[in-house]
Amino acid sequence: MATISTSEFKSGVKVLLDGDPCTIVENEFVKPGKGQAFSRVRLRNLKTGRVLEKTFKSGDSVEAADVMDTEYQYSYSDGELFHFMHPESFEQIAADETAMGDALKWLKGQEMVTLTLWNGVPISVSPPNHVSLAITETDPGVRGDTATGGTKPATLETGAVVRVPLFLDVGDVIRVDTRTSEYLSRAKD
Amino acid sequence: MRAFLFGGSGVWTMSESINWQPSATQEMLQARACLYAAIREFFTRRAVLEVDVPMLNRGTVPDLNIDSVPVRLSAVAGQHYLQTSPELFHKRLLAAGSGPIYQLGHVFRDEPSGRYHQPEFVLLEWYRPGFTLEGLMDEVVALLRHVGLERPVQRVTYQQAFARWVGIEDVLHADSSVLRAAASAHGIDLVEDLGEEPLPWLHLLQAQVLEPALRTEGAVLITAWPAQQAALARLDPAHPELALRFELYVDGIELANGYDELRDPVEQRARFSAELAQRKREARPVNVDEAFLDALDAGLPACCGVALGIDRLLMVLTGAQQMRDVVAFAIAD
Repeated sequence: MATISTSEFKSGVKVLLDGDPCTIVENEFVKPGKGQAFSRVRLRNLKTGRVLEKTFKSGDSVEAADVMDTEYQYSYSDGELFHFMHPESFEQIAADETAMGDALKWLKGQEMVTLTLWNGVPISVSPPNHVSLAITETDPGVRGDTATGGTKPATLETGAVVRVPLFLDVGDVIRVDTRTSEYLSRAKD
Repeated sequence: MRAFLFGGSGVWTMSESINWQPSATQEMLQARACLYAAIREFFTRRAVLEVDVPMLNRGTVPDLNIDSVPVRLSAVAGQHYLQTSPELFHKRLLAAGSGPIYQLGHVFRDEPSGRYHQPEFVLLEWYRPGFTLEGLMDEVVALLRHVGLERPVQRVTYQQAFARWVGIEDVLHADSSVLRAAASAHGIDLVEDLGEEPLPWLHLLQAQVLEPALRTEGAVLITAWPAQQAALARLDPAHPELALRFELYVDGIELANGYDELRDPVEQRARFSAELAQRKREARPVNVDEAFLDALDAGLPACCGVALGIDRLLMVLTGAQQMRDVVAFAIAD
């Protein structure tokens, strides 16, 4: 297994820490002029999403994690696993519920998503940053109210709940930012 | 940015180009020029001679925590090193009777770039024959005032600093278990334990607990370092467990390191030998500067000396957050 030394640490490098794949978010070199050098590293655990801070002695090394991000198309769920297809090779791959995580509430099927694969197995699914989804449930729209800035909850066809302006109604298709769960605009059809 | 490069095939090809522009702004270049002028004025008024010694030397310091950049010339035989500080040459000048000297120049250390680090940086180093360490600290403070740094100044011992800001009462006698517990209590999560020697733990606590605590303390001069961290400082004859060394921190940034200089050639050789032996075990040998040791044999006048990081001083003076913002061209990451 390849190892990575602190001198190769930089943002985006993937390493194994306590058996989990992590990506380096930030690496700061700290050293008293006449003293031992250290690397103070912020890492994101790619399985849990948690950010942790670790200190390495300069020159220490750590195992590299075989992690890569690849674009796949979301196909369907069989009730237990979620199936994806590579758009060029048509290779099929399945992710479990843990890997699917929050992405589930934004996906209908056929969208392109980014799968993070660790040793070839999906560990997380990133939906597109922006998705267009229909409202399936919300309080009746207040026609013409496009100015007051008031909002109300709306349930979307995938089950996600977002806050939307008062004038929107069931059946309207809206664009949402999946990173912040924020309403962006009405989708132009 | 895209640019056309002249490829090996003799045709222009598109390629990602390195940003050619300076990493410092025009205002920063001017601030640096003003700082240099103020420093030269300060030392000229005090009749300290500006010197300019070579960056290339056949030997270097074997300090275990400072790695020199080795250089091989094709036209001159033997291993050379880019100097990590002008110290060795300066002491040869002092032994030759130069009197008080200073230098503002580039030095090199084989270490990564970072917020407060560039492998090539500018050091102001000066030596004062006949000065006490107290007298040299007064001069450091006078220089800070002269270049416009008005922070209040505190003077504390290493022992007091660790008691006040790290929470270790008697750091000089703390063993690794006490230091390990302190690191853990301050939330430091080490990937690998540092072992049973206190020294790496002391460096860890200095870098990760003491320095951040000093960010709101203005200018702090830390004196009376443990003998084990004497480097090239003389031990205190009254307290041989302590070295006559100080460090200056401003806003938590380590700016300067000063010594009452070790003059005893026997002790100097013993310190170098111990470091060289350890370097040999770690398979990273260096050649020491024999001419420096010969100069000590001939006699170094009693003197105190200090090295001050000019890029960091410029960061403090201008509020720059990264060293790359104060150097004309930062090293590419």
